[in-house]
Amino acid sequence: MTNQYLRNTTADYITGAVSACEGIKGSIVLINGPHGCKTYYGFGTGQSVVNGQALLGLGGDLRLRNAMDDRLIRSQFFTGSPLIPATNLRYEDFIFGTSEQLCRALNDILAERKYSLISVIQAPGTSLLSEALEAEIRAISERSDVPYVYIDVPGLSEDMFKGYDETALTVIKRFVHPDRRSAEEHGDISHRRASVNIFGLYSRGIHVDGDLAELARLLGLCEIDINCACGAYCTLDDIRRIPEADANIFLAPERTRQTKAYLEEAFDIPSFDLGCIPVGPDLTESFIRGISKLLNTDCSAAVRDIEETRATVFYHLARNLGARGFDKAFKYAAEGEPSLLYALIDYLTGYLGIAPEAIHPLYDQSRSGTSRIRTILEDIGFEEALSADITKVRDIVLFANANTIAQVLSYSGNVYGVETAYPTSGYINVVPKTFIGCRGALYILEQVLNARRMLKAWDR
Amino acid sequence: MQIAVYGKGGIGKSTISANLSAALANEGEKVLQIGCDPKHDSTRLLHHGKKVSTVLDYLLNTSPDVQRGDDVLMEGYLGTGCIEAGGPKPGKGCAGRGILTAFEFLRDQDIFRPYSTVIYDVLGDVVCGGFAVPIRKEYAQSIFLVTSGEAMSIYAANNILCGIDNLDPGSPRIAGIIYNSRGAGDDKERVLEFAKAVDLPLCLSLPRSEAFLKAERAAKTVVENEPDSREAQLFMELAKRIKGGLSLHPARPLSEEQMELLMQGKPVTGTPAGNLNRSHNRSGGCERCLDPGTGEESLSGAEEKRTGSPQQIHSLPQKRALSDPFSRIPLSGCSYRGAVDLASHIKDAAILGHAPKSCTSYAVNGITSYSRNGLFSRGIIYPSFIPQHFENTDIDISDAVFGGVVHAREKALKLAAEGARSIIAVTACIPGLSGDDLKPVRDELKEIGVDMYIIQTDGVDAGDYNDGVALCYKTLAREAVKPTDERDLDSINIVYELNSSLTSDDDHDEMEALLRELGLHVNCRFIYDTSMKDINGFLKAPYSLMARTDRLGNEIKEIFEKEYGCRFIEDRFPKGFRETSEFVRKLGKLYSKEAEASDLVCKGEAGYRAQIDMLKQRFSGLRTMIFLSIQAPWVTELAEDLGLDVVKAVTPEAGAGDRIGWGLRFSAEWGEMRARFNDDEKDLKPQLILTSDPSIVAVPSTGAAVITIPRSIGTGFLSGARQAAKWSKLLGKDLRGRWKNDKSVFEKYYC
Repeated sequence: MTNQYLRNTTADYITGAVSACEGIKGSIVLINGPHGCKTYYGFGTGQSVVNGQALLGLGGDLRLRNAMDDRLIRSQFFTGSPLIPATNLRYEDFIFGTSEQLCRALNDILAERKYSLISVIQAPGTSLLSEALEAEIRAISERSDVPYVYIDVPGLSEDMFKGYDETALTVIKRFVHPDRRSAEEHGDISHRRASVNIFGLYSRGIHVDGDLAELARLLGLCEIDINCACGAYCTLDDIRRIPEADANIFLAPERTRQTKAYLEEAFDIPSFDLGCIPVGPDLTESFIRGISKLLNTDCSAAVRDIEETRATVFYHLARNLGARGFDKAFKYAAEGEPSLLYALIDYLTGYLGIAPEAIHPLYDQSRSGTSRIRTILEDIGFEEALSADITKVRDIVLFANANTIAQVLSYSGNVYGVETAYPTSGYINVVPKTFIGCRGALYILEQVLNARRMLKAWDR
Repeated sequence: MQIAVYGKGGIGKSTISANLSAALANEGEKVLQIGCDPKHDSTRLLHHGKKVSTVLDYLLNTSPDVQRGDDVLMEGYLGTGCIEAGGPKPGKGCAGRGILTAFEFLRDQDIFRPYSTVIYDVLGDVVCGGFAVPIRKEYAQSIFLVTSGEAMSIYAANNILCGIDNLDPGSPRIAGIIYNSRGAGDDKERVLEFAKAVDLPLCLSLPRSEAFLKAERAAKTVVENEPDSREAQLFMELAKRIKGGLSLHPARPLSEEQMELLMQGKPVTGTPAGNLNRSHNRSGGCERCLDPGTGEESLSGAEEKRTGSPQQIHSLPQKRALSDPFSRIPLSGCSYRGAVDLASHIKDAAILGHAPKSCTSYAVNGITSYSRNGLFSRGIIYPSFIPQHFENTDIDISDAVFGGVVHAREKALKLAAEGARSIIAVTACIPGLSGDDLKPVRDELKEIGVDMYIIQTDGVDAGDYNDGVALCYKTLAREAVKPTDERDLDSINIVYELNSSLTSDDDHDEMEALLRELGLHVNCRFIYDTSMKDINGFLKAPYSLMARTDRLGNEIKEIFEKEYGCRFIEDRFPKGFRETSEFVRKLGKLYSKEAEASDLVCKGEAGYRAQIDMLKQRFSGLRTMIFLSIQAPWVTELAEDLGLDVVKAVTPEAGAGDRIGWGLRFSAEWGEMRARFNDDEKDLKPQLILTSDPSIVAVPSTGAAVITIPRSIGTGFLSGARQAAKWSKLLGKDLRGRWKNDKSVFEKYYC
């Protein structure tokens, strides 16, 4: 039952598709389905997304300059929440077709505000109807001069990152012109700063702002600019400019597999793929040195920064733990995508010396990420962690989403949870945080040091 | 007698159906013909080309409260009833779904009752679950296959046999084949070979004839236009045989290889495609059928459908025609989610979601959100909101096309093997659209001692979140409560607690404490943090108490009263001092504990008065405005007892049907009300604003304390006074916050 619980609680394909579309600044995502679907994709996870649209419904004296019309916010398509409207389908629409209601929604929505992109995503029920809707969407898009993306048949029982990857690829194919720049223009970066595209950040990542800020900081220290951070509130123009970058960075294979394959085939831009997210000083340094080498830039400032991070980590470990380091009984468990798990194992066990009790990969339909995790666990002698039931762990620091943390806490009170993914418990992050890079390494260290103290306190 | 006529498109089904209807009418049968083709021309020859109002057009344009079955019924030749189901425009919507809807309407309207024979003229092939309705839902006991000698027509006939075999393997449902010759070159021999190969009689052989063309030009059947013609006589003979009773045969479709052999004129050998056990006795030919009782059986079948369990009946939107844009009141949430939410409160039952992962992620995360938020905001784990026994079928597009019952069966058996003795199966939109029927799985589980309760929300079909909750409540009230002679006289059932709220636990604890003071205890919580065992034993308690009341609450109560004779205390959980006092006295009387109740009220009153006296000094004479969009009489009770000077009280009238729902919050009337409230606030300068909607006064013009009235305040004598104590701490404090002045800065940097 455990695996079913964990699978049931992970996000679905449509969530990934929504994320790929709403991660474009100024865009709006319309679900062609009943309001039940909006309830989930709009409120269920979207409420924690940093998104300007969330403020468009502000009323009374605080009403904003570019707010939506009250009538629209209160309309059948938004019902009070500006996030992820739906076409408000009813039973009869499944008989007579959804186009009338879809057109009504598009016309109302586009008449009110100017969006950079409108994405229409079919809900599970409407995807089954296989209606020919694109012509009508295209006509409205042309009339209102707002580009569109239409996701006709989402994978109903596929996982989130397949949805994210395939939809991001649809967006790229639609808006990025396949003509490459000339080889000279492309290869010569001596007169300007190098730039990269980043793929694998997504709007529903728990710390997307902090992740992007840390990547920008570290790359900036290497004199590399970010041309387009796909899915992390880049603009549609950023996406159109993807071919102008000098390299494509892929942060997480399970989120970018198809996108990477397409970009490598369609554009003459080198790829940089660490195979995992850069967490901890070692992986961060590999990341920095790798991309700098590829683009022939100076990474010494970034390496110094990482060195300072190593020093800070050493200081806190030595001060709090002495020469012995973490107690051997102190353990962690982690669940998530393989690219995050691999990086966490590398940092928590490889660098910090903490034992893994249970490792539970999610969103790894191809199983290749799990194989890589198995290898690293075998290398360090903890392969049994992969078969341990993560919902039955005790006395542990647990890196997981809030569903799993709550599930574990229902069996054992002595758990310190660190939320790594949606859905969360509702903690609101005002100061941006990240697990990536130097700042991520220090944030994780802070969590495990405090977890150790708290778990010991409970133990008494 | 109910007969379906199936065959390839354009093969002459409508002409044959109409002539058969006319011939049966000549034989004195009261015939109803239902055309199931969206192009709605099946009955034209019977009613002589009158303008047709299809069932689906009618449903689309007519408010449900004035819909009548007679409005879609036309009278044709010799009083034959003529109905056209209709459908969406070509390329739009789902015609199969339309057929389902039309049939459910006809059934609900009891349209079949006056007729002794019903003929269904069904579009083309068995293209989807919708078109299989006459077979699948057992509207039609007998099926005729119409074919010519053309290859594609015979392929279509075989495909229909496959459909019947899949839907109802082994059952004798087919009366035989009707051969409709397409003229010179049409290969009758091939039809005879096919009939022989599939073990079906050839019941009627129609020649290519000018008589049909002439009758069609006159918008009549041949039976009416040229009653003495050879063609009319053929129909008359068939009508007589039908009237005498049809011998029915199971479907034995041919495999692709066998069909190929047939088409090449070679002997048909090899394994057939169907499911049928070949040892089934071969039935006699069409002319040998004898049982005259079929008609009665079919009518009683229809009657069974009409009186079937309510979860089988899909509700259409109330009060408005489907096409009316003003009927677009948003469905709040989805019924699948609602049913799953409620079912998750039954701890010893497993939930089987028959849905794609998308719907289940949504539903399960909806349930766990209470747990996650509770963990974070209160530091409390709510196990009720961590569904432990939840299997999902994870159906995908291919299952949507071919049906996903096999997955439901597999998962249900897995749950049973893991020890589940009660399974609550909830269906989402996709199985609803593809017409999955879980009843055979339920029957199979019954044989191994596992109860399955099917909550057929079919996603949006059943309505919104609350409709899903309603369906789950009603199904379990009807099916899970077991008769018992055991009685627990000092116990009480609590019915209809708010299933999606963290405050329900607190409210329940307070109610339980109150009951304990009277020497009572809770028998069953229906349905909140409960067990199937408790639900099975619901009838042990002498009385039940509604935790809250509304339309659904009343409907649930009515089920218990009418079906089990349960007695209810006419109350919801009492809020505030007066309601609680009355409630306790009533309980004391019912359970013969008057003295204990009287003591309890005295004690409660002393505590309440002490609290009010303390608070009165702070509140007495305060200029107060009240905005109430929820039922909260305790607020007015407090206003009176605390001596507030209420200068304005507004209770919006919009959305009388749903005082706290969207109609209230989003109607234009509410908008005007809000504007007025703001203006009044500026004029009246209240010191205290009590509002159930915190957004009504975003920035008060004066330093008035704006207090939000919560939906739930707990229960008991002091529940209202506790709120007043909280308000007192906010009085005289200016909490407008200077951040609101920084709107322009925000717009500078963010917009």
